[in-house]
Amino acid sequence: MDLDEFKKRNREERLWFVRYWADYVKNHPDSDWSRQQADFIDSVMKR
Amino acid sequence: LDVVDIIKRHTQYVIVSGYVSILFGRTRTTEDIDMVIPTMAFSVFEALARDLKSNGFYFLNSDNVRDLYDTYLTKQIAIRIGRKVAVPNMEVKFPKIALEQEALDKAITVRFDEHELRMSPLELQIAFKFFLGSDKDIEDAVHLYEIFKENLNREKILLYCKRLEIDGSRWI
Repeated sequence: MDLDEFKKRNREERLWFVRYWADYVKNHPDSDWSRQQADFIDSVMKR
Repeated sequence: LDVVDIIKRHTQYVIVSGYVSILFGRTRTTEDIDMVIPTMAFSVFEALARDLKSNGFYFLNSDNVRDLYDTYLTKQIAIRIGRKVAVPNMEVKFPKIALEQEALDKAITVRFDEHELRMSPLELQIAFKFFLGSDKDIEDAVHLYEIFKENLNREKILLYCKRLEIDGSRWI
């Protein structure tokens, strides 16, 4: 695989998760996804 | 939210860029929140700066209000407002391009709990993120589009993209 193709696939894989998560946000209670979002952001800030 | 409460006592404002996506669920951090305020006279900015300082905020760029206005804002350079810590901070600027003015003029109001925030119209926000073009920006745009696509005007997004001389149709 050449580097351009590698980069393209990497971006597509990241976008797959962005769409997956957006769908999750739309289909779960705010308290559910926002707790996960807060835990993630807090974990980064504590590093 | 505290800084917004003070700013809106003095002027109009709009939140733009990454924080819009984060507010609607995107899982990433940011070191700043971007805000556009209308170009204003020094006297108006001076009163705003005094109000911020008396409420515990400080400017990362300079302590001198005249300097903030002359060296930064009027030269199209953002100023940064913090409280106790430098991160996160609020990045505040006057409109540099017509689309930033349009974001101010056509801002939408987002209500949550007892709060209200004025944000860039989503179609414009999505197109602008495609224009900025980094992986992070494109992911922010795709997230917003996926969340709101049933209620967004896709053609409007593509028209904004055209004004920004990019092809947004490859992403949405």
